[in-house]
Amino acid sequence: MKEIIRDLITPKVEDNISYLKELLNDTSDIIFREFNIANWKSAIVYIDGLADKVILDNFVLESVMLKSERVENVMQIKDNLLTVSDMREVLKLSEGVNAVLSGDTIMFIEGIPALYVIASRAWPNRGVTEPSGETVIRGGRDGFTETIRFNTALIRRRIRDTRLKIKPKTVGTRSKTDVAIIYIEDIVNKDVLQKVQERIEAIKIDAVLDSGYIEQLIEDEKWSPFPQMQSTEKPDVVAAGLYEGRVAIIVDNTPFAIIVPTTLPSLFQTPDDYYQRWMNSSLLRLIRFFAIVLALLLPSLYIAVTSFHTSIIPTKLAYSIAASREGVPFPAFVETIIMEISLAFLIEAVVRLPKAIGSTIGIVGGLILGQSAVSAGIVSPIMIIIVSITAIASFITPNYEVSSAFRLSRLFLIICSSIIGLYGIALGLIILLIHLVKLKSFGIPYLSPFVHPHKRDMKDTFIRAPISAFKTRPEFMEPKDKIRQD
Amino acid sequence: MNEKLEFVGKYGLFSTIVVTVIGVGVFSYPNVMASDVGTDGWLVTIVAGFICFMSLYLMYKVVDKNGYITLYEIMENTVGKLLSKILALILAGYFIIEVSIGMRIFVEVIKMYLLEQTPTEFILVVMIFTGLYLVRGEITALVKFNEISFVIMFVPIIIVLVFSTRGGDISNVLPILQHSPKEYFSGLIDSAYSFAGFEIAFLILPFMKEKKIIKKTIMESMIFITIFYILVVILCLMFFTKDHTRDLLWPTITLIRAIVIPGSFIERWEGIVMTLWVLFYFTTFVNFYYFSGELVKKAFRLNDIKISSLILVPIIYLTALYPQNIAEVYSMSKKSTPFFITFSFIFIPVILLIIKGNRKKGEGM
Repeated sequence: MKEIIRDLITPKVEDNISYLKELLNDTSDIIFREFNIANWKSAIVYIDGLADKVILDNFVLESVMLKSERVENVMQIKDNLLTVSDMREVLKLSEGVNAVLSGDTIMFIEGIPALYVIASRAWPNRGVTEPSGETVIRGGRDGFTETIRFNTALIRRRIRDTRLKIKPKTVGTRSKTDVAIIYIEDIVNKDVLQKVQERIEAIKIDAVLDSGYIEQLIEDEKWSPFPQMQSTEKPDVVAAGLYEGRVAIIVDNTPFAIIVPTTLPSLFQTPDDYYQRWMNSSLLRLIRFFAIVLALLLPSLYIAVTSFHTSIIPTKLAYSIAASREGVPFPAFVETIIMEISLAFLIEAVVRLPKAIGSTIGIVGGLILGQSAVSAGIVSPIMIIIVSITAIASFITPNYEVSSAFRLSRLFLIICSSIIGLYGIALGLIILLIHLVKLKSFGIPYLSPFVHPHKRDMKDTFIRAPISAFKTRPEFMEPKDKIRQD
Repeated sequence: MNEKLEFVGKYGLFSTIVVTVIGVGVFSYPNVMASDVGTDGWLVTIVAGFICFMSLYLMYKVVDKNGYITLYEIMENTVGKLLSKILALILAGYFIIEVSIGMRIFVEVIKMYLLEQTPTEFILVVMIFTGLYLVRGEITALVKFNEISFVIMFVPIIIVLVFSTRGGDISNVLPILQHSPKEYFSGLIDSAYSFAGFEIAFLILPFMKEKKIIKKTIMESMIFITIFYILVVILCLMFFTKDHTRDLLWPTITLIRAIVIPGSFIERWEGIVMTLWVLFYFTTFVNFYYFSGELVKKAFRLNDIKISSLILVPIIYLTALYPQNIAEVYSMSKKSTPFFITFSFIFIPVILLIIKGNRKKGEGM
C-alpha cells in the first residue's frame, strides 16, 4: 500500500515537527533536536545509527548555535553558518522524510517554508574486501561492498571519463532501495539502455533486498534455467562490460552488480583471460569449453553406451565396464541418478556449512561413502569415476549460475538418454540448442557472437586473441563507438 | 519481434541453403548415381549443381524483381488470390511429402543402426515435436539455428571424411563418359532431385540485410553442396567400386563404418555418425516444415505460424507412416520426383517471372 505523506512545509517549525512526530511515532531510533539560532527556532531530524553525529555536532550545531551573531537575516544561515559541503534545499516534506530514512539529516528554520537536507549518511560497513566467489590469479582484488556509493566510486576509479553516466533510480515502494544504472554514454547500445530503464521503472514490488530481485523482474525469459544477466562482485568486470557497450545495474545493500546484455560465451570468460598472456588464456578457454561439453554429456553417454549401444566402444572396454558393473543391482539410469543426487547433497551441504566442518563433509561424503558404495556393490567404480569427472568439469565454469543451468540440462539429457539412447541425446541436444537460440538478453541473441556472426567478433570466443588485435568493440552489441584502438 | 525485420546476413543465407539441401539424401546418393551412370556420378553432379544454381538464380530474380516480398505475396500479385491459394497449398503439400519421405528413410536408418527395438511411431513423434518447438520460435530462431548447426554438422563430418580417404583406390573412379544420353538424363534428374531444398531461398531472401551479396552467396552455397556430394560419390567409388556401390542401400553409412582411425577410442563409427546425422536430417526437416507452415498460414489467413505448424503435425506423421517398408518409400519418392522437379524448379519461377515481365511491359506502354 502506498503511503501518503504531506508535501507542504509551513514556515512554523513546530507545525512541521509535530507532524513528523506523529508520522514517525513509536520508533526509538528517530532523533528530534530543537534549538535556537539567535532568535529563530530550528530543529534537526535524523536517524540514530544512520547519520554521522560527529558531522552534526561539530559542523552543524556548533556553528549555528555559537556563531549565530554572524547573520542578520534568516536566509543567510545556509550560506554563512552551515559548514557542511553536501547539502541542498528541498521544498517538499515527503522528499525530506525519504532523505531522513536513508540516513541524511533534515533541518527546519523558523520562517523558511523549506528544509535543508544535510548529507550525513554514515553507518557501520564492511570495507572493500576480496570477493570470495570470484577469485582471480592475476587482477585487482577489490570487490563491491553493500554500500552503493562505494561501489560507484570503485567503478569511477576505473573509468575517468566525463561520459560515464550513473543514473539513480529508486525501486521498491516500501524498501525504497537505491538502484543505479551505469553506462558510458557514447558507447552504450541505446536500445538496450532504453529497455533497461523501461523495465526497471515498471517494477512495482514492495521491497528489493538484492540485485537478484531486479534480475528476475527484468529478465527476458523466466522459463529458462540459463542466467540472462551476468552478476559480479568485481568492479573491473563491470568496467570491462561498460567499455564493451553494456549496461551495469548496481543495487544498494548488495555487493552483486548486474551486467546486461549477457551472452552465453561471455559467461565462460574470467577477468584473468584478459590480464594473462593470450596463448595461456586461449588454452584455458578451450579447456573450459571442453569441460562443459564433458560435464553435459558424460553421464548420458555412459547410460546410452551401457544400456543401448554396447557395440560402439572397443570390445575390451565393453568387457571391463561389464565386469565392473557385475553385481550392481540397478540399471545404469538408476545408478546415475543415485550418484547425481548424492553429489548434489554434497555440494549443497558444503555450501551451507561453516568452512571448518565443510572439509569433513568432503572427506566423509566423497572418500568414505564413495569407497563403501563401491565395495557394497551399489554402484560400479566406473560410475564413481564418471560422476567425479563430471563434478570437477562442471566446477571449471567460472559462473556458478551457468554451471547450475548446465546441471539441469545434464539431468534432462540423462532422462532423454535413458529412454532412447544416443538418438535421445541427439534430440535432447537439439532441444537445448533450440532453447538457447530462442533466448535473448535485452534484444541481443544469447548465443552471440556465434549467431549472425561477424568475423571480427571471433577474436574473443574459443580463443582470446592478443590484446593488440582488439581493435573494435564486440559488433553484436552494436555499440555506438566501435573503435577501441586506432 | 524485437529484432529488425531484415536480419539475415551472408552467412545466414549460406548456411540455411546448405543445411536444408544436405539431408538424408546423401546416404543413398552414391548408390543412385552408380545405378544410373556408374562411374560418371561426379560429372553428373557438377551438371546438376549448375542447373540447380540456374534455377536458384531464377528464384532470386523473381524475388528481386518483386522488391523482396514473400513468395505468397508475389503469387498473389501475379496470378490472383484464388490461384495463389491453390499454388501455395500444392507447394506446401510437396514440401510435406518431401519431408515425410525423408523422415521415413531417416527413421529406418535410425532403426537399423541405433534403435532396433524402438517403435517407428515413437521415433517419428519425438522428431516432429522437436521440430515444432523450433518452428514456434519464428524465423529468427530458425536462421540462428541453421547458422549454429552448419558448424556442428560439417566440421566433424569433414574430419571423418578425411580419415576415410585412407585405403581407397582412385583408379576405381575411371572410366568416364561411357553411358548413353538416356542414362545421363535419368541420372541428371535423380541428381537434381537430391539438390531439392534450395527453394528455401524464397523464405529467406525477403529478410536479407544486404541485397548485393545474394548472388555471390547463393553461388557459393551451391558450389559447397556440389563439392560435398562429389566428395561422397568419389569416396564411395574409390572404396567399393561402382558394382558394389550399386548393391549397397546406403553406401555412405557403409563407408563411414569402414573407417579405422588409428589409436582412437571408438571402434565403430556409425553410431557416433548416426547421432550427427540426426542433426543433418533435422535441419532439412525443420526448414521445409517452417516453409510449408508459412505457406499454409498465408493461404488460410491464420495470424500465427504456431497454429499452422500444429495443423501440419498429424499430416506429416500419417504421410511418413503410409509406406509399408523402405522399398515402398523409395519407389514413392521415385514416382513423385519428375513432377515435383518440374513444378517447383521450373514452373513456378518461370511463370512468375513471365507474368511479372508482361505486366511491366504493359505498364510501360
